[in-house]
Amino acid sequence: MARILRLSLRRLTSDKRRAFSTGFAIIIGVAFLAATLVLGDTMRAGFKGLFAEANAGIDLAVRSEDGIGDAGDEMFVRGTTDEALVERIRQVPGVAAAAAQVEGTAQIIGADGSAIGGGGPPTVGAAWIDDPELSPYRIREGRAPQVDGEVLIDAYSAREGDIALGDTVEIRLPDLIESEVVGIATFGERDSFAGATLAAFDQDSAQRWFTGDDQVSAVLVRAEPGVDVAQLDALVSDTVSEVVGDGTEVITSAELTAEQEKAIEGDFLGMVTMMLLAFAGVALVVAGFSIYNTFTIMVSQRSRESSLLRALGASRPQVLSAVTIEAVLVGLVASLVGTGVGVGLAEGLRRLMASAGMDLGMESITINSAAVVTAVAVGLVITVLSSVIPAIKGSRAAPLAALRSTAVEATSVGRIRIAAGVFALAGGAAMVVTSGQMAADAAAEAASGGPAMSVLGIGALAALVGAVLLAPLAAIPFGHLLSRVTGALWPSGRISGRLAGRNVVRNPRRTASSAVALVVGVTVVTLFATMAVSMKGAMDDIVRRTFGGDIVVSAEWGSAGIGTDLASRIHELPEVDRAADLSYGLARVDGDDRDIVATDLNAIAGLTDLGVESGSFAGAGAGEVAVSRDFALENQVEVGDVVPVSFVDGTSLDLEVGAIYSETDFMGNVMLHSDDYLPHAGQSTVDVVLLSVAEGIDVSDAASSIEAAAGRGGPTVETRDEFIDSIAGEIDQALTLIYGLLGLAVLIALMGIANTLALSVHERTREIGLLRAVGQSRRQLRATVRWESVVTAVLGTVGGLGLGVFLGWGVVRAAFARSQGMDSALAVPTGSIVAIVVLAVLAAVIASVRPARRAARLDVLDALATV
Amino acid sequence: MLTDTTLTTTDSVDPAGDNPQADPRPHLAGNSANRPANGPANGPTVARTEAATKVYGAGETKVTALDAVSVAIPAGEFTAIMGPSGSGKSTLMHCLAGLDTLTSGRVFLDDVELSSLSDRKLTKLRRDRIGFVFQAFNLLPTLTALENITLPMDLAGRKPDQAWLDQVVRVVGLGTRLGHRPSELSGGQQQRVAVARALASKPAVIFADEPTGNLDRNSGIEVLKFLRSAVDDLGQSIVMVTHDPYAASYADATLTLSDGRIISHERAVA
Repeated sequence: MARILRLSLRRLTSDKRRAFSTGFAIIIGVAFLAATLVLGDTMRAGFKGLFAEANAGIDLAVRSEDGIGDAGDEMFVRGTTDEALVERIRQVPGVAAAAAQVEGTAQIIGADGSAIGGGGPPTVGAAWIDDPELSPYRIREGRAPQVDGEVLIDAYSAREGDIALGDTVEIRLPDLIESEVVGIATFGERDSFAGATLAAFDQDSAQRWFTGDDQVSAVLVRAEPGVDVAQLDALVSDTVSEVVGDGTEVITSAELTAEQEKAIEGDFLGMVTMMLLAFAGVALVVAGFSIYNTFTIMVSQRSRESSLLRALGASRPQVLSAVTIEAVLVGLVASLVGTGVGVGLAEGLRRLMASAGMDLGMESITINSAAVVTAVAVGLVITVLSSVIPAIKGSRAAPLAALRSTAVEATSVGRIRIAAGVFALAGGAAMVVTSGQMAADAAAEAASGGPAMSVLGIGALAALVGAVLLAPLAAIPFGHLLSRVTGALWPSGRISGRLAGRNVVRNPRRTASSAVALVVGVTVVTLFATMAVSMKGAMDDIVRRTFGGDIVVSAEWGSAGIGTDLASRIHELPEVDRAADLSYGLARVDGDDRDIVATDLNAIAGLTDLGVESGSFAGAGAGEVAVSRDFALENQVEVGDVVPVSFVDGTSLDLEVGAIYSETDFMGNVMLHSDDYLPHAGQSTVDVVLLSVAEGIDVSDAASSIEAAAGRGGPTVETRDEFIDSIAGEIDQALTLIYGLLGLAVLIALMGIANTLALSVHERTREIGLLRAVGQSRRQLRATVRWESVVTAVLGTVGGLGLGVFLGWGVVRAAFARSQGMDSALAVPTGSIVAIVVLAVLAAVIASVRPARRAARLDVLDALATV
Repeated sequence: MLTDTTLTTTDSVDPAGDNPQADPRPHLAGNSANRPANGPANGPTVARTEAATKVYGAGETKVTALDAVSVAIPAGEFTAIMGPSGSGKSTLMHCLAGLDTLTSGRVFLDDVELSSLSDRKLTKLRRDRIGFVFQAFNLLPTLTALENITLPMDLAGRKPDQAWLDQVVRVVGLGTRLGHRPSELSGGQQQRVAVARALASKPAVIFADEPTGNLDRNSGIEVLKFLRSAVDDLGQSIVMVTHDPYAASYADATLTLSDGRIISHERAVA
């Protein structure tokens, strides 16, 4: 065994460049994986530290048990609790301090007129808590706010907004108020809590805006030193049930921290890491194909050497283990290097985020052994698996067979492979087609679309596997086509094209596996491009079909909203004909927690076409509710039926179904009247105002008037076309990120093609010598290698494009089954397809440069003498 | 795409007006009929060396493969180069064919001095003026027999002379097997295809490096007869490196090398 190990080591060190290029694919894939895992852990640790710091001085928190939505979800709204509890809890023996926590949303407007923060981290409005241990904030300058009209802000907002002590600032709650900055505070030592802005007011003002008088968000409790928290928990709980009865809970700070960690995981970290892991997965699969290819060629090149070893008495397992050990060594070194690079990448990103002002509590990088072990193990397993299959195939050669053969050719494609490929591709395609119908059926019956998505997923995977298996068959016509096309286009270059075409065909399995790595990357890129283009088309269609107004005024996501005050001022502008406010919220409708839209039901009818099926919006007022056809089917309600709706403040109303509509893309399934919703919604707000412009008024003039009315840091005002464009812009933005990440997978695939080409050139040294001897110029030789690269890349790209568009169609069909008139939503991303093909050809030409140059540099006599 | 600049150069430096592009058969046919019984021919030469010296390595490991060899290869004849292993016979052929360069001295092919040519011009010269037959692995496995035959013309981007091609193909005698891949042909058939390829582009000279070395006796004879008939019937000049005296007996003259020097240049007794 030691001898075999030595042999493997010698092989590796004697061909460092090949070992490097084999390992490179794995290094990139593992680095991506490790960076994702480490950055995820680092961010998690950062948030954990921040939450722990925020809750450090708290022993217990008392709050409402109830809320609407899923606890831990971003949209979750928790009920408030009675202010009277604060005083009673203070009197419980063992309680050192108790304070009212009053929280809502408040957006601080900076000196330049733009709102500070938002778009991710929360913009917190709160009552200032004086107790220095219950509050994690420390006053750096000035003092606490004491009366209405005073505010304390965090140091981050002060810096970002260029606000100094004593300044008067505007704050959107969402209605604009003006306050004097009397204090600037830090979160512990930091300027802010992970980029969250804070506007702290006196308790009365905060209650008036955020929770309502006599109500608080929670009561924070600190125990006296030496008091057992569990015992205190029991005592406080008793007091709580005495005062308010059921419906209020007491939790420890550890539970609170755990809950906050879970929330950030669900909202943000989980999503980000899952997406990055998916891309790392694609990169690793592609790397696996590249390694499989490299080892296949290496094994076939070494068959002579292996045969000699066998002839000299080495057993098959010994020959096999030599390759396996080599794979383990390459895999291990590459995975370790990749992990190191990944950790470095994560550290770089951490610093980048820190220098960009994203303070997420990440003092240093967190390297968990689990992340390192996972990254190294995944890299190692993929390398070994991808290399052992060719090694086993190679070791089957009879001892002397390889010594005799001169040119290794395997032009045939196994029947079993073809049969399995046809089965997988046809079966997968059938499943993808079926899933669309299943989703449509499920939508019609308002049933879960889950099974359809599962069928779609399995079908997509099967189709991909089928395509991989059948790729060698496609390589043959591709090679022949090349000969024809180049012959027709460049008569003088005919021979280069023909030679390249024949090389492509001579070992279709190799060509195919070289191309397949590209198929995977291109398929995913095309899938996303198809989905994006289809979605854009669909959104455009939906907006044009359902929204009849001229202007959309919308609050930035995560901001305080538009505010009822501004909304009514917009309504009264002379340029505005009809207007309707939309408030997005949560309510418990007929027993289920649902997203709802609250609006003026009567006004909305004049601005939208929601496809009313029965009843009518016209004349609908408070006390009525409009529901979608899906909702009506699911809950068995008709127009005139009464539906119970309850809100976060505990109020319950019986609302009569006034209309049933079919278009759910814009408004969702339940529409309430604003008058029924806003009084019970806590910090009441308007998120969107839809409006039409009065006769004879230019739309852009109207938009300017609205912007002027909105004032500084106000909502976005867009015409209908701008609104559609901005939706498309958001989709494009997401797509750009996806392209960037997948570009990596495509890069790995192209390196694989370059690698395969280099090895093929090496394998054909003698043929190259012969060609050069009989008069092939260096230029012609380079052209031949280049053509081979281009055909391989085009084969992979065309396969990926076809599969990607088909799967994209499947996804669009299944995902939009609930949407009306989406049957024709599929749009082929022509622009992206052209770009992908051009890029693939260019990249293939670049990939061929080094192998082509090496081939051209070969000395004719040396090449001819090669055995 | 590729124009024949080399050939025009050749024409201009050929004061005798012996246009190498013209079919060499007529005057060579006469030549072969009147060839002298002994010694080097005095007629036109197709290639020659002047004090050709080739040294490999330096110091202790210095090997002189060719030691001031001056030789003229007569046009329209079948010349064999013989000698033991390491005698320099392959080096001489490689230098004559523009595959290798001399340490000192000069090589002329068609009166063109080879050392002055760039790689591009040498490649063109090999393609258009020289035919090669190697010991083995003469053919591209991915091309059919016919495609292998026309390969040099295809590389030059010019149409083969169809009548000439038909004649060559007829002489090869492969018939219906022309559309087959080399792997489907016997060793002798493969070598005959290689000779046909060398002939097809009407080169000034064909260099054959141990063309029968890998063949059994009967196949070897088949190839030698084919080479012989190329000289007799088509007027082709051929230089063949061999260590087999029987193979050399098919030649018009035999050059024998030893330790990088010519030790004899004999004409065969017809």
